[in-house]
Amino acid sequence: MDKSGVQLVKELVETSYILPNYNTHLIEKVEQAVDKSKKELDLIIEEEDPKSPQISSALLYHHFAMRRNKRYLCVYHNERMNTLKRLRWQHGSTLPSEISENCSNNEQNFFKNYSQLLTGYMMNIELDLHGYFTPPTVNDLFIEVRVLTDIGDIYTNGERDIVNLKKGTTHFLKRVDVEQYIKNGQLEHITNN
Amino acid sequence: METTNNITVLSSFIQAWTNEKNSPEIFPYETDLITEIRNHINTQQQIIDKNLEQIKEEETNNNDSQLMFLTNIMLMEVERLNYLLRSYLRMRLDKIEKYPVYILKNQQVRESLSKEEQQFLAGYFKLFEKHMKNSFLEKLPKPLQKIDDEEEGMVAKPDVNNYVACKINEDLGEVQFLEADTFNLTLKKDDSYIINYDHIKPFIQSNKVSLI
Repeated sequence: MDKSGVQLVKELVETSYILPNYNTHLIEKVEQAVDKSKKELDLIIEEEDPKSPQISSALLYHHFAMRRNKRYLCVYHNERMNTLKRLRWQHGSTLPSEISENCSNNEQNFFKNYSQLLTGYMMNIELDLHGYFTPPTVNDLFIEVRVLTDIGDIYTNGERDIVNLKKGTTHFLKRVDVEQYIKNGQLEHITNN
Repeated sequence: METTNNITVLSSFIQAWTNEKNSPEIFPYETDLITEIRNHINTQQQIIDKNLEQIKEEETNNNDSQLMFLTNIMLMEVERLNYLLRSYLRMRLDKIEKYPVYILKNQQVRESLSKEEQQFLAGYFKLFEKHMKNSFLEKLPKPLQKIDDEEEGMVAKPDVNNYVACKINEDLGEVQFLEADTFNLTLKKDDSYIINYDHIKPFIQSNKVSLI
């Protein structure tokens, strides 16, 4: 009995990569197994009497084997697709090259089109759904930051104050004023954990 | 009065958000609520910006700190609303992606989505189907090529058998529920229960019971 289907799904479970390489080889083996089951099924139906219990058991065996293999393929592709969708939300509309290397052409197309679909929806409702992934807390209004690279002077407090962000200094500032620098990696948000 | 109206809008919106969060199903899109919330966010943001301008121009300290304090509170409110709004919309998109075939086949649910969500659903399903077809479905024997084969269990449906926490909003008297055997519960106002979602589904829709 062909074990390619099991191996395919196992690969996803056991991997330490975000997305292991698209296993064209194993996928072809599973497809071949399905094909083989179908041929045997057709052969049996042609030549034998389907009403006898041995024959109907054989028919059922091949029937379920085919469907099981289809499920392996579905699970494999579905899980990878979900990973790609998650990456779009976390990373933005371009895939890191280490990951897109591991994707099939179909998967790369899917990612591109999914990204466009999302962007289209957000434009339709005129709202950017990125950001605000966690509920704001009282501690979120002002945060402590450490300067990692020299930024220079910035306006804070509604452009009333000027703060000099020199490398190595720490400041207690409004989140909205400094959020872009944290995203760039120029500032580090200091938390107590 | 403006204030009471705002409080009602806000609490209705929070309830809508809670419903989406705790229920496996997707609720009808709250068009009016969302419009009001977005308008409110914009109005508040304009006031905040105006205040910040004013603070920047004035040189005196006294009025400043009070206005700054007020503005910071408004800022916190706007941040909270922004979070709730986006969370609400994202949770719905998530459910649309999880159950596309189910929603497409279920006219009542589909039509309760917002127009933009319906467009998203159509686009998403098309994309999903094309991806699966091109990747492997086409290479399978004809009878196996369906992507929405209900017999095979390929259509994901929201699982209504999960338990949820809920609160009773009005006196409902004795209600009969069907499970392994039928059982009755006297549902009184302000009672809380942890109960099978399927059982209280009809009550949630008529707002007689709220998820918490």
